[in-house]
Amino acid sequence: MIAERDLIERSRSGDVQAFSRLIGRYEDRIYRLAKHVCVGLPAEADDVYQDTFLTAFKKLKSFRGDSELGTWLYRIASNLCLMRRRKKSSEPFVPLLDSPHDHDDGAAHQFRDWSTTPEEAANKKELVEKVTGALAKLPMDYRLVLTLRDVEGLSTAETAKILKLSVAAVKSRLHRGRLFLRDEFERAFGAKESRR
Amino acid sequence: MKLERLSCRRRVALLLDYLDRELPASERKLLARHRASCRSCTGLLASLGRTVRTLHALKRVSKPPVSACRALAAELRSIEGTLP
Repeated sequence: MIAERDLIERSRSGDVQAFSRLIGRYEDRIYRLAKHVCVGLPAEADDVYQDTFLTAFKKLKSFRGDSELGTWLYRIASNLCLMRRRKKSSEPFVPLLDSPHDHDDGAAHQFRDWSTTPEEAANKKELVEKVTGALAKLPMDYRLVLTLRDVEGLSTAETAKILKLSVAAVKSRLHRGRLFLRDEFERAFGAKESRR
Repeated sequence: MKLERLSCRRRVALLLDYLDRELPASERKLLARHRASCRSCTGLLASLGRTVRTLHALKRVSKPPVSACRALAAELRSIEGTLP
């Protein structure tokens, strides 16, 4: 496998073939981010995916390598999502996010754990729809944090770096967003199976 | 440090770091011990853990559509050689 820094160097001098190999390494991650942040708007997700790599190709000369290429691409994609939101007039208002129940009785919240459900394959499409439907109810700032941290599995510090937020701000959005989604998942997946 | 003496907010912050495996080993041990005797914290951790695992399962899906890949490739070809 060709080293990433060699591909970056070749891409910097305008080699589209080398850049296409870089796209191949990162396209799933960038498309997932775009899809989950621009949830419910597949055309927007496609545009963010394409614009991320076009922007990266044009600006690769300014990429100094201080961060990982993946982090830089996530940052471009996140900014593109946020710029698109600014053009739109409305965002969902979620009262729960303003006053989350910080320490409630977690035992009362039960839902089927999708990650370990045996019939997952058969029901996958429906479950993906339910999870993305719940994500869509959150404002974009929360979707970005939850997608980078909990879907992509980045650390809190990496997420903060990409979004140019403080670690405390990321943690706050993460917690409020998770509490909201927990309640949504409970409604969507049903509590009866787990309450024995 | 006694967990019971902490404010609710601070305790939740510790629980979140515990859930995300971002606590130093010493505090992690303390939390694990507290968890064994606290139904409320155990419940909160379990329900948030399920939420995170459910979200993480989205990582298994999502390939860019062929049409978007083709459009990107065409755009790149069109600007090849035009960049300064």
